[in-house]
Parts: sequence; structure tokens; C-alpha cells
Amino acid sequence: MSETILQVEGLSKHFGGIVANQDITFSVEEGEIISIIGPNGAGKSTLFKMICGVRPKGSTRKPDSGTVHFHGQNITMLPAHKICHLGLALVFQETEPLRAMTAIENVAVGSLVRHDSYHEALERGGHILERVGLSHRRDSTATDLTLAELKRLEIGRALATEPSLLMLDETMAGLTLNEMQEALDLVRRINREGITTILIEHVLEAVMAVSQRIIVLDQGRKIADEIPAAVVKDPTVVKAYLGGEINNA
Amino acid sequence: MVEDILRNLGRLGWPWRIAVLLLVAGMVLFYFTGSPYYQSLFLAIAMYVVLCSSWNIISGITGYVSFGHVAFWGLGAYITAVLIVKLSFSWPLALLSSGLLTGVFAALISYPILKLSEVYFAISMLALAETVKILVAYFRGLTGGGGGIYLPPLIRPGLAFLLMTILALIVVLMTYVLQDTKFFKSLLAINNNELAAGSLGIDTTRRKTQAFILSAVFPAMAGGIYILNVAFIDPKTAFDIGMTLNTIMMTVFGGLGTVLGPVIGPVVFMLLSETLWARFPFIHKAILGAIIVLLVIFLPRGILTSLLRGVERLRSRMRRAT
Repeated sequence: MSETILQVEGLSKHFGGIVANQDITFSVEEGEIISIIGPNGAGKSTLFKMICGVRPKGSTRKPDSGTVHFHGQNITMLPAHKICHLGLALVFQETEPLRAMTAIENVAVGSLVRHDSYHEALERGGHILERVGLSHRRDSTATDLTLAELKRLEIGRALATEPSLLMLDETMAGLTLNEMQEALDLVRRINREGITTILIEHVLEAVMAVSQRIIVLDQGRKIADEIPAAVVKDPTVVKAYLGGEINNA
Repeated sequence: MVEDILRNLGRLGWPWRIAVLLLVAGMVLFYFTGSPYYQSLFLAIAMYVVLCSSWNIISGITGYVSFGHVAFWGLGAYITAVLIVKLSFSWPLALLSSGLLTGVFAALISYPILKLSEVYFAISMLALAETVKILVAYFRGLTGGGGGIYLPPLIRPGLAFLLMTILALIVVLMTYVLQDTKFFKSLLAINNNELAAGSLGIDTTRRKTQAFILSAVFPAMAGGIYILNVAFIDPKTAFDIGMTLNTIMMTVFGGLGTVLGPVIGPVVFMLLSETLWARFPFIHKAILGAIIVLLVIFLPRGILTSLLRGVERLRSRMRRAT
């Protein structure tokens, strides 16, 4: 029987009078691929940042209430770097490369979480670049990569931290259909290697094809948590989010 | 990390090892035979190598551009003087204590100051230098106030030259051996994208604090050697913003974020400045200014970085040709 890897309970966040997240509760089992979807402003990215402990300077992304447990440990108030050490890696919605560093250096920096020696991290980084299909761009500066390559690089960098849970925030955004397909294949491969995956997405077709379960948010509230086939038929989801039937590609 | 440091040391090729040995031998020889004028010129160059290399750690590598670096130099000078005059410390002990105490001071102020970034950090550091200057002038009983503090002559100029060049060599070698380590790569990651660095498991606060302390200790000791040499300092000299600006200019001039840039910058700039001063005493500053403007236009990334890029471009052209 699989173990619960992530447990989110009653998570709420308000910005003044605006509800970003209200009483969000869900859990993720080891080995799953789940997706969190919702229209713009549904509170997906806020939820993502609260779970991962990402708090840009000056922001107050700590939850107002609720808890997040990862592998049974309460991580609600932990900063991102400590959460990363526990095995939760993330890929941002906007690409956030280490701009002036090469592809291999970007990935090696990720490896430093598990390796004290930079040279070991470089070696490991080489394998990761192969895994994400970027070994031919090893010595290219991050700013010279295409958007699709940058997204692969960031997935590689997250993998380099040797996570047990990978959270991807709108990784498909801005990709062509072909690139999206390649990215999805990569996500499936990563999941087959035993890494639990959470996709936070806007591209519904992508989510349908890859997810075992879908959580739908609307106006900061969870309105569904079901298998994809059930989500497309859920009248609350159709009404609140889709405005009609989903084209299940 | 020790493994990386040893590997970096091992990577130092024989030409470089011989160059370092020759440099050390030259320093010792110069200590015995050099004229006071050249000793004092090379002492000033070595002092700026220390200032530039240490500024480079927090500003060039970590990306927190400081406009108050002189605060650590001035503080080091004053701590050395006060420990000798008021507490009768021996000069070597006072010198080491100045580095240590300034490091503690940097650690204490790092928490609020490193929460700021970009222009806010730069302005805060500028304000820090001014605040320390005012405090030093205010505590007249301890520091001599605005009139400054005098020391008895404790070391000869030759020894000051030797101490400063040894300190410069230590800072540069330290930067070299640290460059391909977890520590420096973490600082570079912070410089490139602090948010991403944090998400990759780097404790950005801890790393920035370590870099800040490291960048404070060495200028403090340079300040200590300076006051041992000249035996007098006042707040105006100790916390002169011109010294910070020179440090920034020379580092950028040499190559920001590199190991040798903060060495090349002061050496080229000060030798050039001295030569121009000797040849064109009335207009040397105008000529120097024009040269700086030209360099900024044609070599915006500094001498070393531009040189390395040029070599790389030439190599790739040759590769393509063959």
C-alpha cells in the first residue's frame, strides 16, 4: 500500500479582502501524478508557493491557517531551501534560470544539495542533462537556450536535487504542441522513475492525458478532486471553470 | 568542500606555481632592497588588491553591490589603533583582532542589511560607512574624535609593504581555491537568481552572511596595516567614499566576478596613474579620466573578461577554419 507523501489540510490565504485560497485540503500518494487546475486567479500559484515555501523578498506567502505535511513532517512554515533538502523540488511558472551560468552549471548547483563536492555535482549534472535531453547544450549559457530548452533545464535542475516529489507550475505554458508532447513524455518518464509529480496547469488537454487524479480550484476553493474522466463530467467543474464539455484529446 | 579546494590547488599549473614563488621571492627581496618610494607604491597597490578582491566576493560574485566597503577598512584601522593605544595590545595581536572584531561587526549588521538588495543594499552600505564615521568622531575619548588618533611608530615601511603584499596574496589565493567549490557556486547562484537558488536548497541568508563576513575581514586587516605604517588616522581619511569608488572602479576595470580581475585592475590603474602623474603633473587626472571613459566604452566587462572572451572568440574561429 502506498504511503501519503503530501498532506495539505485546511490551507487558507487572504490578501487583504481577496481570498487566494480557502480551506484547501487534499493528499498525494507516493508515485502518483496529480494535477491542480483552475482558471486564472483560482489560487493555483499561491497554493504552489505556500506548499513549497517560496517567499520572494517582501512577500507574505505564509499561510493564514492550515498545515502542509511532507513525508509526515510539518513543513508549513519552513523556507524553500529546507523543504528542498527534505526532497520536494519545484519548477517555477516563469522560467528562473541561473542566467549567466551554463546548462551544466545550472544543474550542478541543484546537485549540491546532495553532494558537498562541486566536481561530483558536475558529474551528476552531466547524467541529468542526458536524462532531460540537453547534453548537446551542456556548455550553453542559460540565456542562450530556447523556452522549451529552458523548461527542460529547470526540470533537470529540480531532478538534480534528487526529489521524491516534483511540483511543476504551468510548465507547458508557451510551448508548441510538439514541445508540449515532449515535455509530457518527460514528465511520464520522471514519474516512472518513482518520483511523485504534481502538475499545476492551465492546459487542460495536457492534464487529462497524463494525470491519475485532478484537483480543480475555483476562486481559491477546491471544487473537485477526482479522476480525469469524472472531472470532465462534474457539473460544478463544467459550470465554474469550463463553461461546456471538455474536449478530451 | 575540502576535496574541491585541494583539487583547485592541484589545478594550479606549474607556470602559476613558479609565478607565485617568484612573486614571494620578489616581495622578500624588495623588502630588503626596494626604495621607500616603490615600497610605498606597491604597498598602496597591494592594499587596493585586498580591497578589490574582498569587495569582489560580496559584490562581484554574490551580486550585492556595496558602496560602503571603506567602512570595514576604516573600522579595522581604528580598532587596531584603539587596541594598541588604549589597551596596550601588541601590534600583531591588534592587527588580528581588528580582522576578527570587524568580522563580528559584519555578522551583526548582516541580518538587517542583507535583507535588502540592489540599490537599497548599496545605499544602506553607503549610510553604514557614514554612520560609523560619525560614531568614531563622536566617541572622542576612545578614538580621538575628529582630530584623529596617533600611534607610536611600531613598524618600518618595508615591513608594512611585506605584510600588505602577504595579505593580498592570501586573499587572491583564497578566492582562487574557493572558486570551484560548493560555497562559491552557491554565491554565484544567488547572484544569478536568488529565488531559484533558495528553491535549489541553498540557504541564501547563511551564504550571503558568510560572504559578507569574508569581504569585511580582509579590508579591516588592510586598514590595520595602513595605520601601523602611517601612525595616524582621522575619520575623514578612514571613511572616505573615494576609496570605495576607487575600489569599485578598479575591480570593474580589471574584471568583475573574476579571480584575477581585482588584481589586474589596481595594478594597471595605479601604475598608469603614477606614470601619468610623473609625466603630466598638471593634466594627469584628465588623461586618466579619458582613458577610463575609453575603457568603459571599448572594454565594458573589464580587461580580463574582455581578454578571455577575445581569446575564446579567436579559438572558435580557428576551430571553424580547421
